[in-house]
Amino acid sequence: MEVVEMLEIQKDKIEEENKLSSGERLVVLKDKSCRALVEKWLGNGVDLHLCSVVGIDNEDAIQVLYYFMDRKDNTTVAVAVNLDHEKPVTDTIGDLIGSSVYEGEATEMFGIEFTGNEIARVFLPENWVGGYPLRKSWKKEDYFDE
Amino acid sequence: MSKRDYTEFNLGPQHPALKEPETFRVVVEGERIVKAEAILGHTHRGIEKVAEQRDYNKALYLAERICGICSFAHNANFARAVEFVADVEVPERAQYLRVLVAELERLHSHMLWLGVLAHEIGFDTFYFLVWNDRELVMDALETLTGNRVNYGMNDIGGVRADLTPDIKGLLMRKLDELGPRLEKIKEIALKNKTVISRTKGVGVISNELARKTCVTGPTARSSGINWDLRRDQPYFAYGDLDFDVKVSTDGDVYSKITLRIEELFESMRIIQQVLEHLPEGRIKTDVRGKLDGSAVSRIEAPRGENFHYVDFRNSKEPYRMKVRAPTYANVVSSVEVLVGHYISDIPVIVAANDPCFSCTDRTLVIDRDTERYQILTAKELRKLSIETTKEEIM
Repeated sequence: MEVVEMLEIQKDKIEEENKLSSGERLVVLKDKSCRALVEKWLGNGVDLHLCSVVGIDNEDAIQVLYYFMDRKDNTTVAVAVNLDHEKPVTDTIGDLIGSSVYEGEATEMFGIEFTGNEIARVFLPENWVGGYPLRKSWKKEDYFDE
Repeated sequence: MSKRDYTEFNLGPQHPALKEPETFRVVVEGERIVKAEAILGHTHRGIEKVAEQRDYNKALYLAERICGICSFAHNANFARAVEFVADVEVPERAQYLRVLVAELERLHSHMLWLGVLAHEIGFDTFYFLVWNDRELVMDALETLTGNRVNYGMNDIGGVRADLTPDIKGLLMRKLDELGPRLEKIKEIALKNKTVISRTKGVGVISNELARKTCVTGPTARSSGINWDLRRDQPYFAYGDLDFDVKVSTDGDVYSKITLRIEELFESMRIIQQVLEHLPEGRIKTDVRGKLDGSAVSRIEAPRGENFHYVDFRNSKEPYRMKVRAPTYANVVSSVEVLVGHYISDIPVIVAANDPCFSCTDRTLVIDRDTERYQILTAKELRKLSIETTKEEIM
């Protein structure tokens, strides 16, 4: 089964649907997790490739955008979940498909907790005390001397 | 087995076997690796954060500096993402010229990698031979763009430099010279006993592991994943050009050598077609003003799928820029396959995926005495550089 067919079946899980300027479908989920969706895809034999995980600070919410490709027909789809801005928590998909380090990067840069993924440091030093640098409210003066 | 039978050590961040600063924390039993972990981030420069304060014309040059080896791939990929948001049509001639530089970059990158791998297996004669021949490609890139690295070839909406008949003639002469030399390189790489004994059956990435860890590029293709963005989701002018995608199923270091060498010949084929069929016309469409929208661009860089995401919100500066370089996708698999191998295999297995840690990591100054962090402006960094240089001269 392919991603496009699967999305038709899982329509009830979609909050809204848009298109990126590059033409791909952007699907925003009702849930704060895409784990069930990915499990279903993999369980139905979708040959899935995860290109990247992008954290975005929308100021009223933290968004996690997963960008997938179906290797069978090269269809690409962006799946987004909107999380609470103060305490963004979602489920990991790192054990399902190679994304543990991508999630770890989103954790250290945005403070997103991926339940089930223990990686919290990818690029920043282990003793980093500078907060979450890719959040829009982040100011260097809050952490570092001029 | 008692705990004392295991030894843990750090390979890197500074180590003769590694060409870039990265740490591999390894646990060994005797000479045999039982656990391995990669520690990234030594060259993280916060480029994504810096880009949020630069308009797209300046961020274009920032993207080029993500990597010295595949600088064109990052530069072109960022330009393409911005062009999606700006909804502009890039002239056909510019698309062909982008292919030309991209394939020249693939040639020099694959040859650089082959030289590094030859060095890692102790075959330095081969290393010097390959790198000497690579100079033909570097000369071609310098003639075409003005630089050996960081070519500054792209602009948002097209390219900055055109191909004149003189430069075209010179490129064709360089390629004529390179062809027989690549044949010689291929003959040595495929038949030499040292190459075979140090790489065949070593560092096998199975098809299953490759799929689960979502590896890309030659690493994926050498593990049986028949996928190349140039063919499967054509961009620039690749849809007009004839070339084959090479695939191997062995997954070991040797298969990565054979595959990349085959890819060198395919790049030569592509360049030849571009030079023969380059369409006439403009090389740039102007892009001005604020942009609104988000886009993803993915291109087949020498090391694999290069991912750029840009998000503009009625602004010239990206609200968010995200880069996922191919090494970032490939590093997990190379660490997993270290287990069971010998310490001496580490450099070979790590190098086999053609890692670029500057791409993967993306300025922060740390005062060791006070352990305080400080972020410097360009002006402050320049001042610090001048002061430090003066102190050293004194």
